[in-house]
Amino acid sequence: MKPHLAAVAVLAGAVAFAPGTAPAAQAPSWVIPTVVKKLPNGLTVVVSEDHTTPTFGISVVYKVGFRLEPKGRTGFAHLFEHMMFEGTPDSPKGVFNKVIQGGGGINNGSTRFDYTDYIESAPVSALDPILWLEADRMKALDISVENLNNQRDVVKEEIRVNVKNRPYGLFFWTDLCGLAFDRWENAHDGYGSFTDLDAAKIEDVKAFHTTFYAPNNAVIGIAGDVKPDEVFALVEKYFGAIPSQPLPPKPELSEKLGDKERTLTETDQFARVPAVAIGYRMPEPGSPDYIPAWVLGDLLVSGDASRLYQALVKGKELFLNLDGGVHWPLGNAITNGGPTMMVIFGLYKPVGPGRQMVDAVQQEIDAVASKGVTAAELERVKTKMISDHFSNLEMLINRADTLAIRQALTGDAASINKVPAQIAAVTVSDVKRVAAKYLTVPNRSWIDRLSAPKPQQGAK
Amino acid sequence: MRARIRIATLVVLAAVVASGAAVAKQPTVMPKDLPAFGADKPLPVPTIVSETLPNGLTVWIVPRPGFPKVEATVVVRGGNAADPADLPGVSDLLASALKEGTAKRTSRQIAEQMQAIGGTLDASNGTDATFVEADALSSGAVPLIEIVADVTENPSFPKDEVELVKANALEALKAEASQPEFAVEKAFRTAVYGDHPYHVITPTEASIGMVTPELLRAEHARRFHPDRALLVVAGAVDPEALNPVIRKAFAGWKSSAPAPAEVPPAPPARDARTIVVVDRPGSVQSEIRVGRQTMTASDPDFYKMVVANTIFGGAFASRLTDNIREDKGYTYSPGSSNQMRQLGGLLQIRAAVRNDVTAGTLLEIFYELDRMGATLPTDEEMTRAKRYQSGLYLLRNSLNGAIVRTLATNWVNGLPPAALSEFVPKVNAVTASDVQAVGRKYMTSLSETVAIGGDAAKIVPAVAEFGGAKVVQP
Repeated sequence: MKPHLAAVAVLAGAVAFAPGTAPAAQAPSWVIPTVVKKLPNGLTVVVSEDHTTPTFGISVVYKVGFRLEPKGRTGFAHLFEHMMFEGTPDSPKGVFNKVIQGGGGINNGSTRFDYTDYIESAPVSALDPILWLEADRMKALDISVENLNNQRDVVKEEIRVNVKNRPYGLFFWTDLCGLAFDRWENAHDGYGSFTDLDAAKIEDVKAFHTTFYAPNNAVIGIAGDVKPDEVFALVEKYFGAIPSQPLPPKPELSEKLGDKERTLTETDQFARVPAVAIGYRMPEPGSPDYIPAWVLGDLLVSGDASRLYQALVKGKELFLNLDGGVHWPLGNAITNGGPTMMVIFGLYKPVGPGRQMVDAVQQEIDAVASKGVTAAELERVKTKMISDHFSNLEMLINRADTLAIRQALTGDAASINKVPAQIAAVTVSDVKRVAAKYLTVPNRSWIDRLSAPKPQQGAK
Repeated sequence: MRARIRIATLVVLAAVVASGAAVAKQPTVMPKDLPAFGADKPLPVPTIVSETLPNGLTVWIVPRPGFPKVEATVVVRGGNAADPADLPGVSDLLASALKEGTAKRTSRQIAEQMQAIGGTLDASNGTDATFVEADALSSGAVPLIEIVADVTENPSFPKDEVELVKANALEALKAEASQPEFAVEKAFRTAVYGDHPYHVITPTEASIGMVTPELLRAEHARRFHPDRALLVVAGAVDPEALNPVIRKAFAGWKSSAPAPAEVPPAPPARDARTIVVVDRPGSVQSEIRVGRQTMTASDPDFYKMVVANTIFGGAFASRLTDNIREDKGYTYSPGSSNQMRQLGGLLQIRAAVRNDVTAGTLLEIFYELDRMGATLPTDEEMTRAKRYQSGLYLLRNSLNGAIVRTLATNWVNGLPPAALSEFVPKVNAVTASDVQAVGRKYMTSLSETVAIGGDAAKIVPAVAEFGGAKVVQP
């Protein structure tokens, strides 16, 4: 769904190399403009101009996600996200989606550990009504029993589609967090139990909106064919009168590194190919080890050239595929604001037990921790990461979203432009150090997910 | 419960036939303070620099200064429809093995050289074509073209790599087969197309077993002809500087075996309802597919169907979503698409619903389908659908990868590059009676094919009232 420059410097810096070698290309620099303004009611607005196409992307980020949802109400932040599309006192159910679609736009919402975001992208002719609609649902919702029951049903169908009716059922997210983390805020299932979803009441929805959906707990990001002053004026007009609210104190979220390996074996009703998911607890965002750990994750598990792919999908031919990285699968290192893991997930071949697969992964990691990596390998990985970072910002809707998330998590949207240099600064000794410190057996949690025996076999 | 469903059927169908527009919902009342849309800016039209090389390769370059990356795709006619009858899905393995080594580069060298330019390279396979898709930082545009050309022209299919591709394809087939969508998609395609090659969507254990390096080399020689291929490049590149690189990289590509025979025309669309059920014991949802063959991309009905499908279920705010999600809460993410293929499109409506509302969902889908032909869409629905498609055009054309994919797919379906910029004017020319006409022609519930994947013991009795279902093996 979208971005740009002014000079075709393309082939000027081009590299050409002989078939046998792979020196890393110099990544072109690409800077995203950012202008930030905070309204008196605490609402923060980030604008990034890009006049390449007559469209824009917007993201309204509220600083509440799975971690802050009420105890006894697992899945509530996500259920609430659904309620944001069900109409308000001024615009009945159906208006929101119809206006955005009639404006030529697309929209979505998602709930994550640290935030919930509401995103739209459309031709710029729809900017005014879309801002009005976002302000309208920040002000108040039409919270009826019918709407709550309807969306409770829809959310249950979402959970059936993604978890209960599907092999693997996202165990590498929900179950692995449950195993690896000690605090309820980080460990509980963000999709929620059906019992907790059934317990959700109208009063919960009202209280959640009042508490967390206040302007002082929100950031709006807008990227595209707009002028910052025009956007600020419109945001003042529509959001300026919404009162700020006192925020509850933040609970303690921090997790210690593990001192003893944790393991779990699960059986899967549908899966026919076994899988393992391994998680290593990571340093906090902002720690000097955090970006090196992100680079290490990509070096190990991102793409066909990665260490684990070459060693274990090729090489030993143990895995069918491998995926993962820091804060995978619900974002990446720069969209995380709390305790997280480096996850390594793969389907494996029936040549041995899950422990053999985990040992094989650990052996590759230990080699990095003891011997390090070559400078050439690290350069290639970093070039690819910078390229991926640009791709994540190509669509205006993603650019607006990432800027708003960075503003919400770090208070500095412009820090997005520092990411390429932060990646580039990671050294071979950084990678070696973080591998030795964090990717250890005591800090490791893993789940072996096996096919359930067929019923006729089980009966014998 | 079943009785109530039956009554509802009669009422619904009677209402549709008798009272036309009366069943259409009241137009949504817009909030009084909601600001109006601003004036639309002119639609930008992408520049497409076109060239045909002496060996017949067509090259389209879309220069897009700014975002510092570049996408390149080679698309070659063939795909699953060109698979020999005893080797269904063999082109999936052909695509998987392409990047596993060439005359000049090992598999690992390809992976590392792509990583070094911040890129990825993958080959994928569709019904009518095979795609070699790659991207990189714009500073790596030259090696990107060289590697894409190498993988396209010179794959060597090393024996050990082919063995690994086969072993992984067998495991991947097992893994895919456990996904709830897998069996129902296969059953739906078979129910719509019968034995026609368009029914093939995956290889089989038997066809995977028959693959050898020699066979892949022969299939590559048969399909990968420069005069049956297109290279599309989009991104921060200067066509004048890149064209010589492309000419040089692809100059040596020659056809080395006769091309596959033309795929036979698709069988006539069914005119009677067929329901098949694929058993997935223990399933907690029914995966429903409803649809039929439609038209080619060059048929005048195509643009009418774009608007009709948007109103019906091709967008979030649509009749289908309003009904079975927002009103009934039966499903999370229903949808409808008119998927284009070279020899004709496929209308496919999908919904995953909990077991006990399977029959109720089918009833609502049939109701909404029949309503398309029975009544005219409202002015508001028409305007909203057209503006939505126009906006999607803009969003698609702001992304390198989406432009490349759209141009490549249009080429496969027989459309010229200009089809890109003609899309919005042609959509805007569609009238409400055009939508009703394609509704009657392609969206009559009695002519649709239905496939349901789920717990057959629960589904078969529930859908008996629609004329009975045939249970097929996954």
